Amino acid sequence: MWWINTALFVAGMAVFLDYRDWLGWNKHFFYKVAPGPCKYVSEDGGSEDLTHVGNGLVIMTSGLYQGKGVGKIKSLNLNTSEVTTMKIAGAPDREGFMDDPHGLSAWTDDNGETFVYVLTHPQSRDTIEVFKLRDNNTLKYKRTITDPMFTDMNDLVVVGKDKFFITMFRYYRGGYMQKFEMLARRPWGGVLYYDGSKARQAASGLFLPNGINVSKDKKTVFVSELGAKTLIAYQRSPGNLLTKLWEKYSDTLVDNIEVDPDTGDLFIGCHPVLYRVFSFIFNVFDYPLPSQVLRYKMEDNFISEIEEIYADDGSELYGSTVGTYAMGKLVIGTVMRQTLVCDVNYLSP
Amino acid sequence: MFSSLITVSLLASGIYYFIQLRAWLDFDEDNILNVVPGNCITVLEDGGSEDITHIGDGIILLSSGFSFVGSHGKIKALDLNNDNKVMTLNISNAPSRSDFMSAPHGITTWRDTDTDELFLYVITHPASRDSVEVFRVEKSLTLTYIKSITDPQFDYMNDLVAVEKDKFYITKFARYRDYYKFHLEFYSQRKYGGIYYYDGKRAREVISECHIPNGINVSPDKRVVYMAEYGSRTVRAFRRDKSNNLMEIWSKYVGTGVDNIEVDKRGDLWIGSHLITWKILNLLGQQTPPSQVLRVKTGNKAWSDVEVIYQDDGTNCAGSTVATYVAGKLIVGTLYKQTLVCEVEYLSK
Repeated sequence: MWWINTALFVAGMAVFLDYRDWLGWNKHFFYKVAPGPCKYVSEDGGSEDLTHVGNGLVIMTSGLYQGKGVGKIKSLNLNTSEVTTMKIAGAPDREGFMDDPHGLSAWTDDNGETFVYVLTHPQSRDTIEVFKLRDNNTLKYKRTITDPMFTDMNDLVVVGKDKFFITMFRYYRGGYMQKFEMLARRPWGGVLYYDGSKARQAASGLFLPNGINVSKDKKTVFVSELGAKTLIAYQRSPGNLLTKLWEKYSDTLVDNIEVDPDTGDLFIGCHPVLYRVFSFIFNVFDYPLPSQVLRYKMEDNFISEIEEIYADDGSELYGSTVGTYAMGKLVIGTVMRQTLVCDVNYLSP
Repeated sequence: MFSSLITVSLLASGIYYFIQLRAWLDFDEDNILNVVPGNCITVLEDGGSEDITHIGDGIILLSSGFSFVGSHGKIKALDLNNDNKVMTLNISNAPSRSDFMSAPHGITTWRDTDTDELFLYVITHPASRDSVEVFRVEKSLTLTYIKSITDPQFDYMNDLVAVEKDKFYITKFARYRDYYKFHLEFYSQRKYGGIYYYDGKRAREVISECHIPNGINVSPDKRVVYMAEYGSRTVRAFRRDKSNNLMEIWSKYVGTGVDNIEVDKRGDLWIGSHLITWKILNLLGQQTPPSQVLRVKTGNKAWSDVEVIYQDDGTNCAGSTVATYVAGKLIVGTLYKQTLVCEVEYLSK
């Protein structure tokens, strides 16, 4: 029966090596890549998600995982490099309002009014706060959206008034089951669609789906399946059903996605090494989190090339989660620390 | 009891060795991202340019036609100021032996400041023993053969750097010249390589026990010798003393298969490297290996940052071995295939 033992041994080795590769256990050195001169526009608080709403105005969430009562929305003026905390007019007097702001999505209606939807994590349950963009420094609170299906969400993309796709990062909101879900690589996450009054399942069986966004023509929905290091493209039907089109593996933990409105290229903030992200999540050791921004060049709605536009070992930028390209500059946000703006001296055609 | 202990230890060391070798051969690397500093053009499609060096006025000399089974190679010249034309240099006064210019490998030049003569030294691999061919580079860009330098210590050499007329440091890449023994030597992971100093008459070992030393070069003031140690994936710096002995001053692990080094006017190191060892060794049949160019910034001859300036999955550039930076342009050479010239739109200070 020696061959049964040998087969088991080989299978065990394969699983062990695969898990070790997945953790990035042998990645010890990180290079720098810069598209041009870079400077900090903000050095603390983080900017987990950000988006360019037009005219050089970039809106970002700040304060994630940094305690209760410190969550904010900031605005960056690309023309002046100034960052200010946005005032929220008409904010509800609710405990936990704006706690742990996470993914955000901006949407403009037919009248040209821009709305900003922000996912927050108050103690009780994940909620979406809806604001109208009044001016460069002010948001007007409109309403709160929540749903019993919202467990541990991450990012959203708005496709209509109060209609959005939202990623369920983890099925479990905490405790040992959440740790198990991550370490055992359980694909219990997915994408929900909120139709204006309630949420329903749009895609399931995903392992840590994180960033989500929609193509220029609004017909393709992109999802970063962070745990599987894969970008997935879904076809969006008129009834807002999602059918998988293709997926692309890229050996880095893909986080938030921004779509270039001119070329349709995707800019994705990434975490190059998983064991360091786990060390951050589980609060063990104190490894610096390296940063990376990838550009997925799109041609005929498929990826033609993947370029590394920015990379750092963590000393300049700690834990990038998102990058957007606007007005010839790359704006990069992190989970909890700095926000960087780089000139982009060259972008291949 | 004792015999099973031995079995377990042997098994454990075998498994450990296997895991290390697998990582060293880069079987765990999945994905290569592209990095482009500017517009790139292919100036040579085939034939390779294993080592290159800038001799002034935008003229780059390339050693072309390297092969492990030793066919005849050539020295070519790329003229950056003349539409990137590439021409093969004619050799006058060449010796009549049939194995002259077999598999040309590393090159170095040295200018006699008194007579303004430029000398070119080329490592070649005739079947019997390595031979360093010495030429004078004429103003008309032809080569006049002067002599051949050999030494009993020259097993399988890789690169050299001239510090005086007919005096140079040279790296011993491997002990065995036979294709299969050479591969076995690699898999043994033993440190059989070294750096030798040829004093005009004979060679002596100045640094021993190196793990596959590859490229070698000097700082602009010729006081520090840099060596790219392929096997350990480190860049090492040595100080030269009056007797031309070397003393290590620093060693930096860079996690990639570093090949040849060129030093620019500022003293920064430009290194062609191999990300995936099993592909450059052509294991499992003919492969298309990726390319990478590192820039190691040296402030006061100590490394400060390691940047990736160019990276390609092999589609545009396969198997980069060397790179040099001249007047805003990056020239990349490969083992068997293309030679590229890229504009560099941004270089950090």
